[in-house]
Amino acid sequence: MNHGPPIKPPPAYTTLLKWALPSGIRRESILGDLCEEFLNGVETGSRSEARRWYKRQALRIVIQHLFHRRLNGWQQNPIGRHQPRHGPIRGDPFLSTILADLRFAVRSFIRTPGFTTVAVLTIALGVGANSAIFSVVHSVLLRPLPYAESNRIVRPWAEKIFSRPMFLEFRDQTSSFSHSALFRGASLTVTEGDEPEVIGSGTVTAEYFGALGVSPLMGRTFLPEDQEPGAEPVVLLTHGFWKRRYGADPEIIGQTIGLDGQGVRSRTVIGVMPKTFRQYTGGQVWIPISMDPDDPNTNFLQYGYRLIARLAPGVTIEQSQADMSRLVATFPENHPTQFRPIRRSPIPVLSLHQSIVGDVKATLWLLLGAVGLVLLIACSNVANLLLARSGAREKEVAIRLALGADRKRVIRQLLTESTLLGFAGGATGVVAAVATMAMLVRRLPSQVPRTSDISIDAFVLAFAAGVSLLAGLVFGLAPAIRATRASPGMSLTDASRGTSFGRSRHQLNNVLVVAEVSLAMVLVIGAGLMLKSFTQLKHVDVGFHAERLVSLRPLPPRTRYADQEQWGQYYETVLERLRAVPGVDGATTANLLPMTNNNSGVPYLVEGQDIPDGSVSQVVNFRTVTADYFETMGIPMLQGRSFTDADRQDAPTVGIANETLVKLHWPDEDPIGKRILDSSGDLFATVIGVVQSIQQHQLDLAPKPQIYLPVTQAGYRSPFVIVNTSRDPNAILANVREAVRSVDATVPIIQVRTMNEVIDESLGSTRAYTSLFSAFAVLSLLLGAVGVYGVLSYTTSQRTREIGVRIALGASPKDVIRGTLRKGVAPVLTGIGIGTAMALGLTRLLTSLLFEVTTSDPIIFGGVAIVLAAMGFAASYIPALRAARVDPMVVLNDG
Amino acid sequence: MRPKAFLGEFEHMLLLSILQCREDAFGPKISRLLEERAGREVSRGALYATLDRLEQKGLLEWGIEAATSRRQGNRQRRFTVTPSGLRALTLSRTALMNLWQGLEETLSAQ
Repeated sequence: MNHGPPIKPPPAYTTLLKWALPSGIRRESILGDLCEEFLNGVETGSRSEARRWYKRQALRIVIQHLFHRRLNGWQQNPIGRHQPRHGPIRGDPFLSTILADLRFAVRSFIRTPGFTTVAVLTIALGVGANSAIFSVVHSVLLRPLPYAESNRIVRPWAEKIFSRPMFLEFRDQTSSFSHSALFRGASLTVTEGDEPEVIGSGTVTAEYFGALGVSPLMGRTFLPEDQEPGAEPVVLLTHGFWKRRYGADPEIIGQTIGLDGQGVRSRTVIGVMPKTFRQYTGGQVWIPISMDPDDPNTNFLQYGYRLIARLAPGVTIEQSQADMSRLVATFPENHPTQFRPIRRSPIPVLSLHQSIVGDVKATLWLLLGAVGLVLLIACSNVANLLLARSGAREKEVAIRLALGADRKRVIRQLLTESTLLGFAGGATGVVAAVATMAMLVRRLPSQVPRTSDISIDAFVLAFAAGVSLLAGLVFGLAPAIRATRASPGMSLTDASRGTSFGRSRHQLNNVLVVAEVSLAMVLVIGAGLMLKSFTQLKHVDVGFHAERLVSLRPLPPRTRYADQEQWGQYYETVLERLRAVPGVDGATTANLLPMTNNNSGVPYLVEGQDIPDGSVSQVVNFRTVTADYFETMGIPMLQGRSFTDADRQDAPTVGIANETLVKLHWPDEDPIGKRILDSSGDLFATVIGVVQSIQQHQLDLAPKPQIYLPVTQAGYRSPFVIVNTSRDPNAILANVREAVRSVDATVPIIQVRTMNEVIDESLGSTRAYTSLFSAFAVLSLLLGAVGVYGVLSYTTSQRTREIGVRIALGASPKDVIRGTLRKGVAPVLTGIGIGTAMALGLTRLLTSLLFEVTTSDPIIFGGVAIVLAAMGFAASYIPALRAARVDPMVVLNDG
Repeated sequence: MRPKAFLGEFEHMLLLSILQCREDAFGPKISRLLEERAGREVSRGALYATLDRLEQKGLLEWGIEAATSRRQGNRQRRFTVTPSGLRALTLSRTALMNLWQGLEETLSAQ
C-alpha cells in the first residue's frame, strides 16, 4: 500500500462545490460520493485521469446548480419540468431581473452604435494595456520560479563573484545550506556536422541541479566524480538542444559528441533535462566545473563564478545570513594578503527570485502604475460619455421614477449597463493584449528576466475581469446616481425646456475633465523627462570614434589552435588581410569590446599604497589589446608611449592606465614607471602610458579604473577584431567578414556589428522604457483630447438655445467663441495646475531611470503644460466655432 | 387536470438502476451501474439534479447512513424507490411495451 500523504481530490474544486451548493446533507453526500469515486478512479486508473474526472464532474454539478436550477425555479416549483416554458420566469428574482437588465442594456447599446463603439474601444485601450503590463508583472515578479520549493533557493552574497577555493571553504564551513553550487556561462563550439556552431553553456558544479531541485528527463546529472581531475569529460543537454541537434534521439545517452572548449574536444552525453526546466545560466548544454586542486587557475582570488544554494530544512534566510557573515569574517584572517577586514554585516543572502528580479522590480511596478493612470483617464472619458448619454435619457429615467420605479432598482439597471460596457471593453482589450503580447515581450528591455515565462494565464484574465468590473462600476456610479437624483417633476420640466440646465452635471463633467488632464499631465511629464534623459544619454561622448568602427569575433577552435603561438599567427594574418581591404584604415584586437556588459577584472595592489579602508579588495578592469588599439579606436594618448614590439614575453610586463586609474592612485605624481602588483605582491604591470578614459559598459556610468595590457605579454583571449574605416561601416561589414573568413573558413565568426550598433544595444533598456512611457503618454493625451472635446461639444449642444438667444440679443460670433472657449479651457488649466503638483511629487519615482535630468526639470514641465493647454484649446475650438454658427431663428422656432 | 406524464429516459434509467442496486443504492454504486449498463459517462450534475427532481415528484426517497473512511467524513444517502415510483415505472414500461408491439420485424430488418 501507499504510505505517502493521503491522496485527495483537487481541493480547489472541492471548495468550489462547497461554495456553490447550500450546506446540508445533500451537499455532504455529494461531496462524499465524488471523493469515493475519485479514490476508485485513482486505484483503477491513473491519478491525473481521476483528477480530470473530478474537476469535470464538479464543474458540471456547479453549473447545473447555479444556472439550470435557478433559472427553472426549481425551489419554488417542485414540479420541475412540467412548468410552462413560456410566460414570466419564476426563478430567482435577483438573477432573473439581472438577465432582464442585461437584455435591456444590450438592446439600448445596439440602438446607439456610435456611443457603444467609442466607449468599448476606450475601455479596451485601458484594460488591454493594463492586462498586458500586468501579465509581465505577474509572470516576472509575482509567479514563483518553476522549481520545487523555489522560495528556499538562495544566492548567498549575490553581488560577489566567487573563486573555487572560496566556494570550497564556503561549502565546508557553513551549515545553513543543504545544496550549494557554482555556476557561470561559457561558450563551446559544436564541431560535428558541416558548419561549426558556437553555443552557450552553463558550467556548474555537481549540486547545481540539486539546489534547483530538478531531475533529468533521462540519464543523470553531474556527480562529484565528474569534476575530479582526469574524469571523463561529460555533458548534459537541454531539451531544446537535444531535439534540435539530435532529433530527440532516445539513444543519445552514452554517445560522444564533438564539443570543443574548456580544454577538451569531445564529451560524453550523460543526460537530458526536461522541457519544462528553465535555467537562468543561459546556454544549451551544461558541463561540470573542474575541481582540480593542482589547476593553476585555482587561486583563491581567481573569481568568475556565481554561487547558488538551497537552504537546509528549518533554516531561515536570517540564520543563513549570520552563518555567511561569520564565514566571511574569517577570510581576512586566513587570506591576509587578499582581504582587508570586512566591516559589512550581515552578508546578504538573497532569494533566487529576488536576485533575478531585483533590478527591474521597481521599474515594472512603475510601468504598471503608469498604465493604471491611462486606465483612470479612460474611465473618466467613459464616465463623461455616460453622463452625456444619461442627460439624453433623463426623461426616460424621470418617467420611470414618476411611475413609481424604485430608485435603487433604476441605479442597479444603469450600473448593469455600465458593467456590461466594462466587460465588453475588457474582453476586447484582452483579445488585443493577447494579439500584441509577443510584440510587447520583444520590446521589453533585455534586462527584464523570465520573459520566456510571460503569458496571459487565468490569473491575468481574472485581473482583467476584476479591472473591467471595477472600471464599469467606477465610471457608471456617478452618472447613475446623478441621473436618479433629480426629482421627477424638475427633470421633466427642466429637460423639456432645453435651456442652460443641469448645472451640477456640467460641474461633474468639468471635474472629470480636470481629472483627465491632471493625470495626463503626470504621464506626459514622466515621458518627457525620460525622453530628455534619453537624448542626453545619446549625446554622451563615448571617448572613441565609434562611428568609424566595425567589430566581429572569430572563434578559432582549440582542435587546431592549441597555443598562443598558433593564435598569434592566426590573428596577425587576420589583421594583415584586413588592412589590405579597401577603405580599412586600421585593424586591431581587444579581448572585450567597450559598451558591452562583459568585463574582465583582476584584484591588484599598488606598490607603496594600501587597499583603501573598508573595501574587501580592489579590482582593476583589464583589456588585452594589440599595439595599435588606441590609434584604431581613436583614443587619445595623454602621456607616455604605446606598446611596441619590444614588449615581449621575456621583457618586464607593462601596461597603459586610463586617466581614472591615474587620478585614483597618483593624482599629483607622474604615473609613468609606477608599479601595479597582483594580489600576491608580484609585479602585474609597470605603467608606461596614460590614455583618456572611455565609456566601458553603459553611457550613464562613469568610467572605472582600467589598464590595457599588450597581447604580446598577456596573450590572446579569444578577442574581438576591430576595424577602423573612413567609409560607411555598414557597407564594409561584408568585406571585413570575407577577409577574416579567407584566413580559415572553418573558424566560426560571430557578432559582426558596427560599433554604433553595439552602443545602440547598450541603450536598449532605456529605449524600451522610454518608448513604453511615451506610448502611455500619447495614449493619455489622445484620451484627454477626446474627453475635452466630447464634454464641450455636448455642453455646447445643450446650450444651443441659450446661445441662440444671446446672438438674437446682439452677441457677436467672437463673443460666443470666446465664451465657449473659456468654458472649455478653464477646466484644462485647472487640470494642468493640479497635474503639475502631482507630477512634482510622483516623478521622484523616476529618479533611478533618469540621466542628468532633475525630476522637476522646468523646461519639460513648462513644455508639457503648453502642449496640454494647446490640446485643450484645439479640442474646444471646434465646438466653439459650431456655437458661433448657431442660427437664432432656427433655434428659437424649434420646439 | 393534465394527464400524468411518463418518466423521462434518464429518470427511467435512474430508477431502474436504484432498484438493481437493491440494498446498496448509494451514489457511486448507482453511477457505476448506470455507466456500465448504459455504456456512457453520466454527468454527475445531471445525476444529482435528476435525483432531486425524482424526490420532489415523490418517486424516490432516501435515508442517511454513516460516513466511511473514503468519504472524508461525509455522510451518505441511500436511495429507495417509493411505491409511486414503482407505479410510474410500471406505467412507463406498459406504455413502451404497447408501442413496441408489432415492430419486431421492422427492427430485425435493420
